[in-house]
Amino acid sequence: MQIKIDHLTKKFNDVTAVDDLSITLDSGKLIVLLGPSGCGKTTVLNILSGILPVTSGRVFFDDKDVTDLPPERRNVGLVFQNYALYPHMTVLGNICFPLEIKRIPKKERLEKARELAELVHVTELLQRKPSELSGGQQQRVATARALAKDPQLLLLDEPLSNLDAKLRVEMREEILRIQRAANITTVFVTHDQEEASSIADQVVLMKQGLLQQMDTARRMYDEPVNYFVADFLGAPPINKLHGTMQEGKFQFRDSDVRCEFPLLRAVMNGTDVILAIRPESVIVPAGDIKLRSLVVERYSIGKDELSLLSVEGQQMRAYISGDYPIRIGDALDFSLKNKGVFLFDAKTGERLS
Amino acid sequence: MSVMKRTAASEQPRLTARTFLEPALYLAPFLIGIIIFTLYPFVNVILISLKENYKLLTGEFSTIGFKNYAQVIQDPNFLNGLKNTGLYVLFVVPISTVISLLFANLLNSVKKLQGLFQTAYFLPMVTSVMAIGLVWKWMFNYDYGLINFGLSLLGVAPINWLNNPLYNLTALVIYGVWSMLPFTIILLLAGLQNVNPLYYVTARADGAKAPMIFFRITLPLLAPTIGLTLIINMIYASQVFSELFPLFNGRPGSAYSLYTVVYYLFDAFYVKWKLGYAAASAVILFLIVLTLTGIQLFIQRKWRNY
Repeated sequence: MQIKIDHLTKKFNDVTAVDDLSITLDSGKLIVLLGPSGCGKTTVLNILSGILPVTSGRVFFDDKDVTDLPPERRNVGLVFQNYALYPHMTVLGNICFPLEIKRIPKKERLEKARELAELVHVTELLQRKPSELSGGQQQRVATARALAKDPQLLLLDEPLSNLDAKLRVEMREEILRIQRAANITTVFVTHDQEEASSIADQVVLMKQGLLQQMDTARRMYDEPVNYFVADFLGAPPINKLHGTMQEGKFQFRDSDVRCEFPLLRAVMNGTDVILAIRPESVIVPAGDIKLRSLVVERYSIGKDELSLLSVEGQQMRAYISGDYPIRIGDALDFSLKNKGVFLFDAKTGERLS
Repeated sequence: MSVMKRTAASEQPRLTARTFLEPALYLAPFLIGIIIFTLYPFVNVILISLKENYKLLTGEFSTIGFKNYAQVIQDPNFLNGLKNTGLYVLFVVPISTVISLLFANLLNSVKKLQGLFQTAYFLPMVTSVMAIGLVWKWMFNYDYGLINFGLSLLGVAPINWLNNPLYNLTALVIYGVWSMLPFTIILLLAGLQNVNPLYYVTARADGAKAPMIFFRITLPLLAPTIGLTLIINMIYASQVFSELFPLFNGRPGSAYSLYTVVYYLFDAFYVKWKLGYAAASAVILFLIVLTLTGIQLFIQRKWRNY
C-alpha cells in the first residue's frame, strides 16, 4: 500500500511537532523515519496509526483519505519500544488476540498464529508468558501480533531500542527478513542512524518537525542536502573544519591556508563556512593538492585505524590504513577525495559544495 | 583464593554481639511498639477467652477452659450477630467493589481535573463516621429523607428504613457500601494507573471495543489489586460496629435484632461486663476472618497468572 502524506502539520499547543510534511511512501518498502529525539518522527507514526489527530493536512492510504479514520479502521499493525505484550496472556494468546477481536473462528485463529510464529521463529515459545521471554523474543512476538490481522501497514516505534547492541544488529536483520517475507509497507522509527542505514529502503530524516531529506541511506550519506544531514549520518561523525570563504576559496580559521572546491553557487567573501570531511575521505600519500597536519593520536577500532589529526589548529578524525607508517607527533600530508567532502554555510547549514 | 573466602564469609555473617545488637537496636522502636500494642493484647485476648469468670480489675478467674466459647456459640445474640455480620460482608464487599470498579474506571479516563475528582472521592474517608452517619440517618428518615423522596419519584411507597426491623439490615448495607467506596476507589484507581496505556492503544488499534478491553485486559491486569481490596474490605466489613451507632441511636437495630459480632463483643464487655465472652467472640471472629482470608489468598494465587 502506498502512503501519501500531504502538507501534514501537527501542533501541540504552541509547539509545532510536525511542520508541513509532504512525503510519499512506496508500497511494500521499509521506510525509516529518522531524527534526533523531539524531531516529530514518532508524531508522524502516531498520526499514521490514527492515535493522534492531525492539525492540518491529509493522509492517504493508496487513494483513500484516512485522515479522520480512527485507528481500528485503518488496519495498521503496531509495535512499540517496550512491545506492550499482554502480560496475562501466553504468546499464543497475544498473537491470537487481534484475531479474536475480529471474531475469527478459533481454528483459523490458531492456524494463523502458528503460521506467524513460524515466520518470526517463536514456535517453541507459544505456551510461555511474556515475562518468560527474552527481549529479542518479546520483539518477535510483538511483531507477530502486529502482523496477525494482515495489516496493510506495519508501524514500528523504536522497536530495537530496548535490546543490547549485539541483539539489535541481529533483530534488525530479522525485521528486514520478516518485512520482506510479509511484503508489507513498513514504517520504522528510530534515532539510530546506523540502524536506519542498514535496513531502510528509504530514509526520511527530520529535524524539529521539518523534513530534511528523503532518500536512500546511501545517497543521503553521499549527497546530504545540508549540514544537519551530513552531520547526523555517519559514525564517527563527519569532521567539521571551520573557516571563511575568501575569493571563492575556503580559508581555514586563524590561518592563511586556502583550498579550492567546486562551488554550487557564488559565495560572498567572508561568509563563515564549515568544511565537512568524512573520515574515510582522506588520501595518503598525498597528491598534488594537499593539506598538512599533525598526528595527535591513533586508535584501533576493529579492522580500522582511526587517526586524530590536527589541521591548521583544528582536529579531525581520519581512517588511515595501518600499513601506512605514521606515529604520534609525525607531520602528515594528505589529500581529499571528491566524495565525502562538503562545504556548508555555517549559519544556514546550506550546502555550498 | 582469599577473595573467594571473603565473599563466602560476607554471604553468611557470623552472629556476634555486634551483628546482633546493632540491627536489634535499629529495630527496637518499632518492635517495642508492636509488642506492647499488638502482640501483647493479642495474646492476652486469647488468654482471657480461656479464663472463666475473669475479673479485669483483680485478675481473678475460676478455671481455664473453653466454657466461654461454649456459652458464646449458644448465645442467640451472638449467632444473630454472626448471621448479620456474614450477610453484611456478603453484600457490602462485592457490591462496593463492583461500584468502585466502575467509578475508578471513570475517574481514570477523566483527563481534566482528575486530581480534583480524586480528592472529592477521597473526602468521606477523612470525615468522621459519626458525622456522616448522622447525615445518612437523616437521608433514611421515613418522612423527610432523601431516599424515600427519591423512591416516591419512582412511585415506590416510602420505606421505614430505620424503625422497621425488616429494613434495618438493608439500610446498614446501603450505608456500608457507600462508606466503603472511597478507599476502594482509590486503591483500584492506583491499580488502574499502573496498567501500561499502550495495552489499550494496541487493543484499540486492533479494533477492540470498550467492554472487550475491560474484560480481557483491564480486569485480568487488575486482578491482584481487586484481590487486595477484597481482603482488606472483608476484614474491615467483618468488624462492622460504629456504623450502627448513628443510624440506630446506639442500639443494634431498631428491635435489637441487628447484632453484629463486634456489637456483641462491645455489649458483652461494656454493658454485661462479661470479659470472657467478649474475648471468646473476638477470637472466633478472628479465626473466621483468618480462614476466609486464607481461602481468598489461595484462590487468588491460582488466578494470578503472570
